Amino acid sequence: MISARRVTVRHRRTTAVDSLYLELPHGVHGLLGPNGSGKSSLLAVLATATGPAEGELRLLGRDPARPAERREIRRRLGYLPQKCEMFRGFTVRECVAYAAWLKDMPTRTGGPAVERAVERVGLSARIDKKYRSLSGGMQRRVGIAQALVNRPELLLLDEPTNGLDPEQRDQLHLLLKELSATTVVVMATHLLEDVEGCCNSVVVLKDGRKRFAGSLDELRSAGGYARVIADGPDRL
Amino acid sequence: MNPRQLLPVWLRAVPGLRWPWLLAVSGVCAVGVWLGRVAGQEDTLALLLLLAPLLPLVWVAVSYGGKADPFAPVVRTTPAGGLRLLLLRTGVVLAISLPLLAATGLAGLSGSLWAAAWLMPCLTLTLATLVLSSYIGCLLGAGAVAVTWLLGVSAITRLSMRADRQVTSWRPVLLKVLMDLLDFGSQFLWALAAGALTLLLTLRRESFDDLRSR
Repeated sequence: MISARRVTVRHRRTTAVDSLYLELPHGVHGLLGPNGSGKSSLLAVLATATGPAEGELRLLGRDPARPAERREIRRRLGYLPQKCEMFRGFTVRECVAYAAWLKDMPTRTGGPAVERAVERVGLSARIDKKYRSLSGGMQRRVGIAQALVNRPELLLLDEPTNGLDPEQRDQLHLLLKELSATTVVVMATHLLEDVEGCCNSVVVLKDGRKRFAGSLDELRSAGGYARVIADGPDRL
Repeated sequence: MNPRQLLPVWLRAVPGLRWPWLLAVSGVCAVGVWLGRVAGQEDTLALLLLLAPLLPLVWVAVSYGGKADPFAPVVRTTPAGGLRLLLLRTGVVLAISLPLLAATGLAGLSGSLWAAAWLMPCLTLTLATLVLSSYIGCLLGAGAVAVTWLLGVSAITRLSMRADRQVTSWRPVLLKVLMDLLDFGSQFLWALAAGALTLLLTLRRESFDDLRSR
């Protein structure tokens, strides 16, 4: 469902992702790597926020370089960036409803979808509270709710567990496992426990290059994350 | 129930960002006042006035651009997050700025009513673009409206020059055509068109929900 061939992402003269090959089917895929390894840049390209400088990319069987196909991808996309601030004067319901509107959701189905998304992140009791009155962890959960509101087929989460307490993390892991049958979930994280909690496979990036791709067991067999990052050969 | 809740969420979101909203409204009003003052003067750049309907759109884009919208990283990845959102924001900003300038013009605070007069075609053309977008998509809609405006004004200018063979320069003729398009008789027609387009847009609002639509 995600197919990347020789994808390169550049920020001015810096190469953030270098000639990446990736095939990701339905399931939850962890994107691991140290700071500056290219995780967020790769997610931004998968979210169609920016295009790759080189290479071919297909998302949900469509080409994001073509405007009509990009629009269809975006209707089926959920994206939580690393920093996701919403309107401070809006209620939780309004924040998620605004995201639903932006995703072209029909007005008649938007209302129930908003309530369902808010319920999935455990904020039903606070649905009419102002965003600014919520704690950091709750605000993060509103960010997750806006990503889920359109029942995305492609869900991209950049460090979603930042600010969440252990119980909320477990709940998010359970939720992602539920989604894995019908959705391609890519979760950038620097926490191995997130990967252990819900991921079917792991991709490890370092300096914009793929150092490992496989299951968690295979990562352990290869000596673990630290070994792969430190001196492991590229394993494609 | 809070009456604010009756408004659609996208409409609540436009002034929801206070600083960009204030910047957009005050900037568009300033553009209106400036255009009202320079229009008709001998040294006015006719080409600038020809492109005047674009100025509020550009200013609103600047006001809400950069880091002004905290939700922008997500907005950029949504189907409604590009030109359509910009056109809607511009429409709302113009719908507030126009009566504001008209009222201050009547009270003698913003120079003259010309300031508001400049914004009426901007509002009508923005609404026309949105209505057309519901059929053929935003980019094509915007292109079609821009080309129609430019060709329409150019054609009227050309015809006026043919009618008066003593005129040798197109510049004063273009200025006169633009001023005629803004006079108080024309304002009535622009307002009528804006009202009809608003009605049509309200009727067509669900076309943006349709997955097959642009």
